[in-house]
Amino acid sequence: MALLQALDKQEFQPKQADLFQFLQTADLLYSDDSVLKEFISVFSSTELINLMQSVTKLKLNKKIDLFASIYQDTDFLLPHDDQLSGRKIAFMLYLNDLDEKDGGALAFYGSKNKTADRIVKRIIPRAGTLVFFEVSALSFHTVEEMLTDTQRITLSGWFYG
Amino acid sequence: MAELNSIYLKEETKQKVRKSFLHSDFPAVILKDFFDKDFYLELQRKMSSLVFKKETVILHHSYAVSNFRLPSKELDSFLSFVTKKKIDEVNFTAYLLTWKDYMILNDRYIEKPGIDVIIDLTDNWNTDRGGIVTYTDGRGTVYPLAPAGNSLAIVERKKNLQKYIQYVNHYGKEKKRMLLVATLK
Repeated sequence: MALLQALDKQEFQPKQADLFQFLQTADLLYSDDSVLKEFISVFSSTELINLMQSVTKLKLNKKIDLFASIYQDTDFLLPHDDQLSGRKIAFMLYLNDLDEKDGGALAFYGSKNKTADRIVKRIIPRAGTLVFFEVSALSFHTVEEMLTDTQRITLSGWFYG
Repeated sequence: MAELNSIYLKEETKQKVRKSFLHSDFPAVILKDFFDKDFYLELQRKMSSLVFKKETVILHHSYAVSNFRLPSKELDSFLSFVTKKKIDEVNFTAYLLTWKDYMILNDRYIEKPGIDVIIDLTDNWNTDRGGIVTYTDGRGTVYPLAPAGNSLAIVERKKNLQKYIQYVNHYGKEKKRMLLVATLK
């Protein structure tokens, strides 16, 4: 896929903190790559933003963030809500397939007493799938630990409003 | 029974440890082979016999805990000397972490300044498994404590310094990360 080939030329840095461990690019909005530029132009287009507004009923502006991540064996992203000033919709485009045995599922938590409760939905990455959700005080989610040598490759970011 | 490794009872050693602790930019010391071998085995045996309670607060921690009494006049005296605090008995909490356990930073669980005392009861813990106790100042500087069975760490948490325990990954499945943690107020 053209996107995967474009990402092959990008620099991924290891990111590690209490909450996460994975490889990530810098913000791709400033990339010179023509394929990525085209992708960004589609994702920040008026048409797509209008579609997102229509589907989510959220008021958005033209700002987006975009970066690529690679999760490898033992990488993870622990439970959190993504809340940061202005973020309205989180999105991730999966660029390869994983099996259940690989780990790396995106898991959503229900809430109880305004905090994360049990996992209520688990999404196993499939190439070409776009997942998006509203960022809120209750949008608790996690990327489960990778358990095999398979890589989990995504383009992710946020729409703002 | 001897409690501490005799080297830590020597005046010269205690002075060096105190100087290192009190005059470092990051006020912390990690002392290897801290306890007498037999005393250390006794601590591990006691740890193994504890009844642990699993605690999960998804946005902050997942681990098992138990109270742990460690009456040791040699330890109390040593800690008093190094920290220059009056210490009668230290109240430890035993932590047991296995695969998928962790402790992360959370604004609702900010620790007040204090002096942490951490005893590592885990032998041969491979750092690739995670489970590392790590201090951070919230500005990008991190201070991981290298795991070592029979080590004692003393860390002064001044304002903004908080600790977390790295997620234990699947290479820690069927392994146990065992720590005793206390905070001197």
